[in-house]
Amino acid sequence: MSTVSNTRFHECGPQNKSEVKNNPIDVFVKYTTEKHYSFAKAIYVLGVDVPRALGLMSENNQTATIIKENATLFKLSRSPAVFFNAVNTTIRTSWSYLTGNPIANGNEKVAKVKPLSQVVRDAAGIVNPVNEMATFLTKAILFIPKASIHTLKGVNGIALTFLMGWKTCESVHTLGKNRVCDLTNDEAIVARQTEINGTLLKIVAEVSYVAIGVIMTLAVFAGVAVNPLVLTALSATTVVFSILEFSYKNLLEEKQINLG
Amino acid sequence: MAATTLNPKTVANNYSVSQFANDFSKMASSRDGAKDLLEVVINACNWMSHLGMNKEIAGATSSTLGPIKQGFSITDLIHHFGGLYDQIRVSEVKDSDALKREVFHHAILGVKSGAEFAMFLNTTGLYVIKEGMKSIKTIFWMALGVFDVVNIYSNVGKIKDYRAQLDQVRIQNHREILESKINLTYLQIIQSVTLVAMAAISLVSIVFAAAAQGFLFNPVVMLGLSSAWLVLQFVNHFYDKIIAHRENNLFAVRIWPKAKEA
Repeated sequence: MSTVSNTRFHECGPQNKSEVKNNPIDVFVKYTTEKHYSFAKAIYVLGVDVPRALGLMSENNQTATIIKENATLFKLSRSPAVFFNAVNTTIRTSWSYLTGNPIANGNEKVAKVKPLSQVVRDAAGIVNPVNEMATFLTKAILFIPKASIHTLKGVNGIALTFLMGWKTCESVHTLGKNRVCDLTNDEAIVARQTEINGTLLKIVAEVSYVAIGVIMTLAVFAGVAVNPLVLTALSATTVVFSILEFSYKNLLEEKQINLG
Repeated sequence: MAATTLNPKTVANNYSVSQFANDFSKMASSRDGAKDLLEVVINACNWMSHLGMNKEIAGATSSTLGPIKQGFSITDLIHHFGGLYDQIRVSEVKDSDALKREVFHHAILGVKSGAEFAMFLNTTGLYVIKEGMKSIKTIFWMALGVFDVVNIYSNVGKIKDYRAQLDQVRIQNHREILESKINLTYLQIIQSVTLVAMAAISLVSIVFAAAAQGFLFNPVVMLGLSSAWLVLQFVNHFYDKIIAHRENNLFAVRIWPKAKEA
């Protein structure tokens, strides 16, 4: 039986809000609802892959296998939307670069003319959802032989290394700009220190992604055999540090609660 | 590098294709939107299976995507738990009507998500619920039905508010926007009616299985209703975006320049 169930309440008009400080429950709720695909990844990496790699869980554990399969499919199901998003962003960025019109992508508040480097970066972002879509089809619906998407995995490795390497450089650049010694105000020092700590946590996750990208590329194009334990450890690092960064950033913020 | 701050004047007058693409990609990235899009594919596969077109692939796709869609119930459940937790925290500063409305909203959708989560456990085989499934489906459809009946009442009240506003507004463009909002609310009511109909049919077929016969209980009716619900879901979403866009333009022309002068 078909069950359309995604109903929601249609609110209207201005709403009164109350501000409260975030606590760990708020951060957990925010993480699971805003980063639901990362939450699925955290479940199968920290709940199944890591215990299996450490020998705490048997490879034949049926429940763990079902959890991993479903969480993986859940995460991969985002790929068509991510693909559409990446293509749309690339088209907008290319148009801005070619015509010189300022645009604001995503959460950007200021419209700018996009440089060629941004076009290349956005275009590279299309590779990962294509790879995820192929993997999703392989696992779920069409059962494409894994060998046929082998090369795509390698290309994805290159794109991942490129994108995450770029992001790491940006984060390092942000660190360089945010020097505490320039400040005299105590409040400003604390705020900048917080930003520095958040960026450091982000860099660890980004470097782990770069390592995963390099390993994927080497495994596909150079036939290098990698111990699965290394990949599990790197995946766990990306998950743990992404959660830490998210929690660190959000625990310090205030949230607005609708007062009706 | 040229940089200009975004102001409402830079927004194009018409709802362009690129604006649509942006709104669509935002919707697809959101939790609700992702669930709706999965539902579209599942619905299309159900129609294909029903019409005998590529039955095997359609069946495999539908049965694979079903549990994925149900998996969203975990995050939905946490979201509504968080909503209830928030209401408890602000209960001292909040008036009782608004509090009751919010608590009802989160409680009933929390119950629905809980029932959907139980269905997810059963479908994936993580925890097989044998006899209990009948009760879970009853709770699921009952929660949806009750919620949408309340939604209909709320929307009727909203139409009255808009009509009252319409009587006081003299600017033609603003009047057109309010009229569009009234039309949108009617569409939302129709959407809620399709869901209430689905809930009623499902409840009768679950609770009084022996009496569930005839045209109303034909799978095509359920498929048709769910397709209608989905079409209305997307129509309403983008109609709402178009209205917001027009409203933005209106205030950009009438209010923003004045604010700038001030």
